[in-house]
Amino acid sequence: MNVIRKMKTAVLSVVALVLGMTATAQAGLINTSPIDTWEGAGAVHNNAGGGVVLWFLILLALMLIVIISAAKAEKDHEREHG
Amino acid sequence: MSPEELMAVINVVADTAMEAYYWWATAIMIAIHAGFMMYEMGASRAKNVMHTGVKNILAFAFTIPAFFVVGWWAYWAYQSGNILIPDWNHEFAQYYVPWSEGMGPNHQDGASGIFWAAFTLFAMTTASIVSGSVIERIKMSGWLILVTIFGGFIWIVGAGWGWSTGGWLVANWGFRDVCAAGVVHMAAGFFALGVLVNLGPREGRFNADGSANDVAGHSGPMAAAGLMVIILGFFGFLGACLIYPSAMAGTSADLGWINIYGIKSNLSAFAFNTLMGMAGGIMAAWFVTRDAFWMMGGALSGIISVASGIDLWYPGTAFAVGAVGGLIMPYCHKMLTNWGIDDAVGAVSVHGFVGIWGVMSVGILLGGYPAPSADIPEISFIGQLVGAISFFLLGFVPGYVLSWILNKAGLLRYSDAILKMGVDRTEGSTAAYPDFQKSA
Repeated sequence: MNVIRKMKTAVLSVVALVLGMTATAQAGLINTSPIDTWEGAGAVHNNAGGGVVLWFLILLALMLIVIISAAKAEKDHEREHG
Repeated sequence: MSPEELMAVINVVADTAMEAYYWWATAIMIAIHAGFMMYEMGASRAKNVMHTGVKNILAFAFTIPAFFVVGWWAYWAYQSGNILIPDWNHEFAQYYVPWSEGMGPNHQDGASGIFWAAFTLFAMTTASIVSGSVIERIKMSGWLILVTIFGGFIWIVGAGWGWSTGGWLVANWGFRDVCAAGVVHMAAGFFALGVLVNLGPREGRFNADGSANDVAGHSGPMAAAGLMVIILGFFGFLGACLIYPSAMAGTSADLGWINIYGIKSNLSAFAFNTLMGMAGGIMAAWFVTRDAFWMMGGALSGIISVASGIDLWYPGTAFAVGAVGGLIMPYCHKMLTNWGIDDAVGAVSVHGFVGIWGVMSVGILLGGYPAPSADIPEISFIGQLVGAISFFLLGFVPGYVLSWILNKAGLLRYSDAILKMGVDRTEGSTAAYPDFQKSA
């Protein structure tokens, strides 16, 4: 049973990794340099072409997920301990 | 070297020194939060210690991105004299939306990131002030929602009102609060009060007849040392309330230090009055309480008492003003306790009520000092009073409303059974002292 669960987790991890890499490439989040030379460079924003919004959403989602997970854990503990 | 070339070199030196100054001020300010954590952990019972510490560190982690996303931008969006609705179109507000050139690595802008960092630490200070009041019973989920909204947005609205020449309190009323007795301390202290009304007391704090019990923390030495660390951190905080003389910081190398209102000032004035105010606060608090914790609370009270007019006091006056802060603090705490409010570390008294004294002492004793420009009123009692009322409302109303909503949603307070067992055990935190700690 344990081996099957581990296999399942490994396969899912690989699928997630491949999907993640594909999405990253499609969103233009790799090879993102906005400049060709440091000479005269001013503002240097990685992913300035549009990836910024994605990172921004990830930031907000992470904050939300952590709060929701804390609330869920608290509910479980109350169920267990009264 | 031509005069122009020489001036360019001077500006580069001043700009980089400015960056270094705020970098290290920010680092020193982290001591405020280390100190608050130590104080609050020491004031917690052994069964809740780690939950208290985790709460402080997570507040740190949540305030940073919240202030990046909203806070810094919002500060500039209140520079047009607006009271409630932010001015999205203000020039600087546009520059500081989170995806703009002002909010990321920018070789031509060495000021924005370092000022954002200093203000982020101010934001964290507001969260840490609230944190102590609510220990040993607040749920982590509710706490994180509260600090994200308060540290990331609400307090900075007040900074936009009263901590810049464009804010309506300054422009219309001549409000003066150089080191944030109202902007930071009052807002946070009364936000805590609003939360405490809905949160309720610690387990065992009040008896059925309404009389109060002392809930002793598990480590007096840790709490006392924590307060000393907070004071160290406040030197970073106060130092970061001055604007370093450099072109990149919006001034010029030859102008010298200016305060947040653009008025000439210097660290020397801050040094006199910070130390004298602190000494007065400690002495008075010790005199009226003979209690180690309140004595150290007196140190903070002394600093907060002199904060609004920190660059104007005669040092002897600062001592007396600080002493008044240390004197009123324990009585304010007693009054709250009589009302059935359990403020675990006295934050409402130290920051909220003493913050009122800090703001009003300027109106009483420093009236008539001129404003940075002729179109702004001079310091006055009424101007300071309008400011104090504004910061009370800005703190208390959102604190009450948000915590009321969280309470209704079941996200504010742990159940009685969990509080009886201890939050560390039920929430799965590592026990603070596993070798010898007794279970609850």
